[in-house]
Amino acid sequence: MTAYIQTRFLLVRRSKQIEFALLQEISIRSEGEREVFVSEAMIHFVLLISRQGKVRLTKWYSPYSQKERSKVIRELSGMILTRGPKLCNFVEWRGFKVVYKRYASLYFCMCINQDDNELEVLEIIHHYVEILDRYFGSVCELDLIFNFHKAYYILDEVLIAGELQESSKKTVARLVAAQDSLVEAAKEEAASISNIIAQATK
Amino acid sequence: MYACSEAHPYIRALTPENHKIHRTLSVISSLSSTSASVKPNRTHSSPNPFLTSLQLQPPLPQNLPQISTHLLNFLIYLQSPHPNPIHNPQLTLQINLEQLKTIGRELALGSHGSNFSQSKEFLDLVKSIGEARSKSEEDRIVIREIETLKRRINDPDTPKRKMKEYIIRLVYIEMLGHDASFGYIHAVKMTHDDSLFLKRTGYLAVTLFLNEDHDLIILIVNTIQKDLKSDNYLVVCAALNACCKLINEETIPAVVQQVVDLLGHAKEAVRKKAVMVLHRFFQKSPGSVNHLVSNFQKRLSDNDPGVMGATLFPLYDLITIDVNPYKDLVASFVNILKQVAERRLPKTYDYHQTPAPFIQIKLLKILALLGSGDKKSSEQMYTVIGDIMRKSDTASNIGNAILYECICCISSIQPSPKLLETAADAIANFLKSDSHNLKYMGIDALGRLIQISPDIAEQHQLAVIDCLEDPDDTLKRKTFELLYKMTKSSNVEVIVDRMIDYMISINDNHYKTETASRCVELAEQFAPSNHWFIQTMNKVFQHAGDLVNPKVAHNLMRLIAEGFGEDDDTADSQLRMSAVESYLKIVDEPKLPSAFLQVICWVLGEYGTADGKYSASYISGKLCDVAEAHSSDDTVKAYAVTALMKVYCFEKAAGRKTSLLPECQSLLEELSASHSADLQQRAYEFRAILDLDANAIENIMPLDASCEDIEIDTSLSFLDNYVQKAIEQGAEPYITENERSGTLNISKIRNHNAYENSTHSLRFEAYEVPKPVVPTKIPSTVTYPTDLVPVTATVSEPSYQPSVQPTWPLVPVSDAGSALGSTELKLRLDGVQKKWGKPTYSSGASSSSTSNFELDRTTVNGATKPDTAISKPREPRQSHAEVSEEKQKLAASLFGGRTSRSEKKQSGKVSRTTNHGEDKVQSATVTVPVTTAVQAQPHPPDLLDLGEPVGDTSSYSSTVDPFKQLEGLLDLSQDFNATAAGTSNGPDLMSLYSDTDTNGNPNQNLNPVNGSVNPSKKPALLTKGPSLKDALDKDALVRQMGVNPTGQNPNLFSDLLG
Repeated sequence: MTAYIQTRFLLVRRSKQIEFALLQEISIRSEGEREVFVSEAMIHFVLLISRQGKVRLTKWYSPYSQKERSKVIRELSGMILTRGPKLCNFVEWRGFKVVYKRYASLYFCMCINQDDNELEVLEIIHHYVEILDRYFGSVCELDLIFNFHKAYYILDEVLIAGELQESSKKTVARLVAAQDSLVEAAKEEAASISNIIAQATK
Repeated sequence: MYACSEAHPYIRALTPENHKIHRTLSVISSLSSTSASVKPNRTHSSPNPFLTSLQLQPPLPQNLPQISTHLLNFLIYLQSPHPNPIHNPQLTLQINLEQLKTIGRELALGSHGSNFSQSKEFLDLVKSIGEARSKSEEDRIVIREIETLKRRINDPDTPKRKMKEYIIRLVYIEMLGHDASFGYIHAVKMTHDDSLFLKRTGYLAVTLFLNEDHDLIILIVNTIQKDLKSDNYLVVCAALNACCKLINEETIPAVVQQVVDLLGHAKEAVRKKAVMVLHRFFQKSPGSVNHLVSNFQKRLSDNDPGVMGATLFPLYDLITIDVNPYKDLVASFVNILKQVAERRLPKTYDYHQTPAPFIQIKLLKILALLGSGDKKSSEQMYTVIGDIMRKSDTASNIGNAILYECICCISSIQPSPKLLETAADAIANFLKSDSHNLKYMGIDALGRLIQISPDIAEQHQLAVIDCLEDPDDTLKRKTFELLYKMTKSSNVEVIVDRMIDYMISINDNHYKTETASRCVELAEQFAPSNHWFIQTMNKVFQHAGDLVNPKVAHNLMRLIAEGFGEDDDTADSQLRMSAVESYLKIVDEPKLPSAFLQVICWVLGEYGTADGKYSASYISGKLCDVAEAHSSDDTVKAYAVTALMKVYCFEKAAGRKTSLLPECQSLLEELSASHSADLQQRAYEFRAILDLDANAIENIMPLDASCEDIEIDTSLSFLDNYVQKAIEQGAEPYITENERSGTLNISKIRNHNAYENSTHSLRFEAYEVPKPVVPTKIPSTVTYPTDLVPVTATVSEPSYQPSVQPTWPLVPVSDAGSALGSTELKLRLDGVQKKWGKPTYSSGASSSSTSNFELDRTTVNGATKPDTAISKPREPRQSHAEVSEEKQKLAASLFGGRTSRSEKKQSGKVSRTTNHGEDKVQSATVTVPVTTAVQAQPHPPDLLDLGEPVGDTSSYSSTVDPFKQLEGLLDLSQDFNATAAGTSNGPDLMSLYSDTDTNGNPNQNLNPVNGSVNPSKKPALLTKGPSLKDALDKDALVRQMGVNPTGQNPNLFSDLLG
């Protein structure tokens, strides 16, 4: 019987260590919640935030629930808007990196993976802004506020599924213009589809 | 046509596109309002001819271009620096002021030719949200809007055009973070529409609203299928865009074949998107598109560079997964890269005068994968990488992006000494740069390169320290990452100290945890002394608290218990005593994290009284205090009470008289009535054990035996006699679980009722031995009602739960938790690593410990860690002055000199101060590359990245559109013609404009890549540039929208691209 008791009490002592092991398991599970990203897209989301923290455009390439989205925006605007002008344009956040660039009063932010090339993403942002500028003509924040859907259409031609799909500004501009002219034509209901295509692609 | 419309904003207004008409008009209205205020009372008799024509022509849509022309001319006339003295336009203007305003507004807001296709209502909504002073006000507005939309959107009579606007409004409110799910179905319906106009809006909305697992997706798949077959390539494009977001793993088969067919589409835009969609499919479900891999390779040779560029994405993914099948593509990739670098691609792919940089970067990433550990492939790449590095433009951001990618590639492929040298130079330039971005990249690149060429860190030590002390948190963090990679035993103290200081300073839990675990890892690996290690761990625990991985606490306890694994017992006991002492000091502090308290309790329980310095009552008093102070934390209390038990047991076993402290007594009473079964159990056990005699206690609680193996007699041999007796009396022998389980699992289900019966009463009569039955062969009719119960005399309850080993029924049921845990004992411990300790490991000790511990010791003292391969520090380098002494000290201690290390070896436990002291000797000889570098490379001013917002809408000094400069270069002749056509019937000023535009272009393009304007030219541009008009434009737009530009955000109207 003493053997039993000894085993039992030694187990009590040992079980402390096991509790750690169990705790550890739990903590791993809770860490798992953070890994919501199924895919490995380069850019997880694009955010446009004004200096006042107002959201101007959001595009999510990785799945986030509406609640998470608000949280992400809140967290990031808190981090990015307070950064000084001379600091670097990258912020590490939840194991990802957020690359941002300020244009006038508008911040363009893109969230990327830890091992992506930040400078490249910075230029992707600039690429997008240049295309916007070309489309709107000296684009300003107001253009994006009232024409946010157009900014979305253009973004869809620049990025697809979180990757840069077209690095030629001209190609993007041509495609967007083709869609626009098609829309114009649809409004007037004047021409047949084939005409429109001919017109759009000339 | 496009180029023409880009030529000049005024000309653009004349095109049928009507893109900017509202702005032109609004400029007039704003101008008129200003002039009206200047000269309110004067009248003039001779009306301006332009104005007359305006009055004659009502603002009918068909006349729009004409009207705009007139308005335009009129405007230019107004702006003319030499106004006609006879016809002062400002005077005339005022007569028709109201009229003009109306025209402008109608044109701008009317449905014809308007930039904003939405109604006034929507504009008002956006405006009111823009002006909302607080979040709650904004929420109120949005909620009201949601109500309105709910009502209207469900109205079956809503016209389609209206519906489109409502959908866009839904997108807007969703963007603001509100729930628009009530309208999702309408967005889905809109994708069904035949007109692209509505379809596009529908697709946009659904891609923004729905995640791929949303229920409504199924309603869209059919539409997507239909649209992928459309004749109109724009419809196909829209559908492909939607595919990326909406098609999930289940629905991929429904569309994949169509997408593959589109790879051969005539339009390159479609081919490109199809490639990207397949790439997305591959990411979501590799199996579904595996058979299509060859298609990607085929597309690599597509005529269109865009399609080729897109193909690199799926190929990159494929190569990441398995390099080998793609080795033969190395030559093609190198070839493509060479061609790109030699500017063989169309000019349109140039980005800031760098040839197709994004494609270059992707190719470099692919080459890095292909060349990793492959000498033959790597050798093919050397030339092209060298070429690219030489050619890349270090003044532009994109050039540096390529450089950085080259460095990554070089550090990944088989090293080439020449390339490494180039890479090191590039890194030096990054680190010397003024730009934080480049410093950051430099630190990152350095971290990559030191893995293969550890020496180069030496040259940059001061730059690294500058980054470490930089106020920029991001840079600091990156630098810590670098330090972490280059830690060795000579600099561990400095680095870990710094890391802990940093850890204390940050609030971000994620990075606190990361830094803490890094500190612990480094401390375990390189700790120079016990004392330092314990102190470091205390600090980490105190400040990072419960963010520390519980494994760390476990490791710490084990370390204290096991010591170094050396034969030298005194060192171990010293370690323990220093731990006990430091804990006794800390334990009274408030707000200690739970994990740390657990460690403290455990150590105090085990070793608190070990060397006799502290009395049992002192230790137990402390432990009682802990339990009391943390009464809400059951785990801590459990640790405390077990520790108390140990303390008293040791006392009693040593033959000393012990009496429970009163507070301990009351704690026990409290816990005996605790809600937690665990605590209760511990309390009762405590009492029971105290009643035993000293001999028994010594057996149960041997001193310092926590590391000893508990020999669990799994065969329960001490019961053999008992079993034997039972069998002799006719009991059935025990059947092992393996024999039972096959039968059990099946019949458990089939014969549930019979099974139930058998459990009701224990039957000790002999039954037939169950035949080992192959599960699949069991006929359903056969039942084994009684055979199921494995009857042995010892087992008092049927132990057929497969999860519990047959030996465990001995453990009382109430302790099931810990018993279960114990079964997993070995499994759990295997995961715990021990990296700390001296390299010498005595095999003698291992024999007494479990095999688990042996496992841990295979990773001893960092010798196994690749990071430690960092070479010995170099001898001091060229001398340099002007760097603060402190920095030099730090540099010396981080990068270490040989002398300091040998010193360390002698003394064994060199404190940080002595380290510094002798570093002073070195300080004179430390290199200082930084200070000189600061001025060496002035970074070109980046006007695009405005440090200060251009708030004033009338400031047009620096606004020059880089696009027009680029555009003008491309289509100079068209540009000129278009401008000329526009000026044909206009006044002189127009030609002035066109002159500046066309003449200005060549000049401006002389400037650095990013199109920024040389500051020296600003004065010249002041009066000529298009910015005056732009500014007026925006200002007018503001007034028109009714948004007050002097309100809270004047920046709304400043050009994003400076």
